[in-house]
Amino acid sequence: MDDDELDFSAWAAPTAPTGLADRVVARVKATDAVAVAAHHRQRTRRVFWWAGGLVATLATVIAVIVLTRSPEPRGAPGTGTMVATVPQQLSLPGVLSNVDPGANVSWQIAGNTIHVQQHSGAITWRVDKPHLFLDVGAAVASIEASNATLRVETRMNLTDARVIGAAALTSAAVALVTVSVYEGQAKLSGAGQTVVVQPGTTYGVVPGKAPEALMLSDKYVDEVVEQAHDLEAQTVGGGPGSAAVTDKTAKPVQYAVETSAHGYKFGPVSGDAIEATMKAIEPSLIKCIKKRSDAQILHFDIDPDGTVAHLYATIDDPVSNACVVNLLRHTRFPKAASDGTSVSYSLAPPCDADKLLEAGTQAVARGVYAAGLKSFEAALDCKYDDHTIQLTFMTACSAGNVAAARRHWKTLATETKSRLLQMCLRNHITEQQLDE
Amino acid sequence: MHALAATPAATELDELALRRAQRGEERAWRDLILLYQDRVYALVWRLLAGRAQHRAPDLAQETFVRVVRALPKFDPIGSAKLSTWILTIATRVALNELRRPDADALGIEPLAHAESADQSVERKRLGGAIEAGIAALDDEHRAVLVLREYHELDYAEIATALSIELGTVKSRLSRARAALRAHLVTALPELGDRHG
Repeated sequence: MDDDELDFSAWAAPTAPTGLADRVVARVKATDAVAVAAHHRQRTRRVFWWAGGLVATLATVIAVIVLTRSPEPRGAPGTGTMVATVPQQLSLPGVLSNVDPGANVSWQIAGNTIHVQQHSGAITWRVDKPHLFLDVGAAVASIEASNATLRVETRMNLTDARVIGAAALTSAAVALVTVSVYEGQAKLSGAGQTVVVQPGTTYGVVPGKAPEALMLSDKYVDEVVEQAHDLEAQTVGGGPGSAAVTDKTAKPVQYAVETSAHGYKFGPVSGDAIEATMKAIEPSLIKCIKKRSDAQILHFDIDPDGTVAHLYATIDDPVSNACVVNLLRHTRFPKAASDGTSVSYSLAPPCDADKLLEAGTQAVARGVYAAGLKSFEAALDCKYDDHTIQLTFMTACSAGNVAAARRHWKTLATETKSRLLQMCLRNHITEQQLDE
Repeated sequence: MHALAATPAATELDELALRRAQRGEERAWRDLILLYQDRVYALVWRLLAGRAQHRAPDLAQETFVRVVRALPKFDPIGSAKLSTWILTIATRVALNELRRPDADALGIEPLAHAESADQSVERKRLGGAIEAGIAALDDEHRAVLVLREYHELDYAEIATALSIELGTVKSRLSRARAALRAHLVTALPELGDRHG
């Protein structure tokens, strides 16, 4: 069948409902009226704002004089920057954080609000009283948190070799921002969409995209819990006895990003060693992602002791995800003297679903339904989606293969069943036979 | 059920009416909406096939509210035709609806056929099969196919509408056509027999 010959107009759409223009115009005018009223109110209040602004300015001047005369300012300075080369703690009023090596962060304190820019790296935050506003990874994501414990990590893409340590970090250098909330809640925004991250869950933000829920390894969750407990044991508030703020401007250790056909790595463990280890477990990994249609990206860190930490798999199927997590958890990579290694590894799908679907389609077009069924069932092994299931079921019906039709009937959604039943009835396979 | 839409007229709002609409004249807004409403509604309705077609009237309305608000920013001598610009907004409104976090809660709807008395049985079956085949595509592939086959946007216009690369448009269109062909040949084996 040629696409040019297909009469797409056979699927006709209805016309627009009547009165659409009236409803649109009414909506626009109504909201405009509200906007005009709001503007008017704003104008009439402006004079009061002037007066209020004058008072506020005076109060600010007085506050600045008092603060600048204070002999020993408590807690952190109003603004600051930290580029951590070793694990460090950062204590700000009402906020305590564990800063991982390589993290680059700056902050500004304004009253009960702290604005932080986490340019790169990973930091675990425990936020007590104030509102913490975090801009992460050159504004790829922003976070608002209060009374919460969360871990925020920024992962760089291939271009990071050129920008790590540089001041002008752009969103193009950021591959992924992840936010894990251990306690409380945090609002996470990316690409104009906001989600509330609940305790025990993790979201990821890719530049230009909305936040998405991510699966995490148990080990990672354990680590977050451990870090949160560590922080809980500390004094929060930056008073005497709390960890001192260390403003370091030394650059982190530089590693080159190594790339390969599978992805990239950043850190001391060699790319060859990672490839060799991954190759050894790849057959098992592919078994884990059987029935997945697309390449799966695994982001993980290798600790200096060779174990895998901070695993992020972009696999939305919990069974496949758990399989991959368990496998990597028991995998050992070469040890390194210090520092972790960040890895992004693309796992190719186990078979070419498109090729198999095409072969099945050709077979069905020739009327060789048994061969078509075989191809579609093979395609199902690497592309287990609704469309492939439907094709397989319909072909099983056309082939008069009751057993296969029954097998795939059970996997169809209820709504789809009613639509596709006709295919089997036409080939003398009854609904009772399918339900047996 | 609404009446069947006629083939979309390939007309654009005239320049003066567009200027008036951009200046905020209500009459010109109405002219604009009446001219493009069937195209917008058909696009949204098809993009929501099998998912949330009951939301099509609301989304068509939302599209035009955004169009009217953004109209002063539309550049009449820019590269995009007004119809393409409006269809781009409609596409984004529909795709956003499908991407809503609770979109899965919308569930799968029985496909709603827009039938007319003069449709032959064979044509109805073909229409139903096309609808089911397109409904089975994922959102990205469906959008490319619908914009190309039903609204005759060229590759560059589709790339702009969906904020994707030209090459991605071509590959998605190719995959979408292959998937639809597979569905049709399987659902209507006689099509394959007829065309070899």
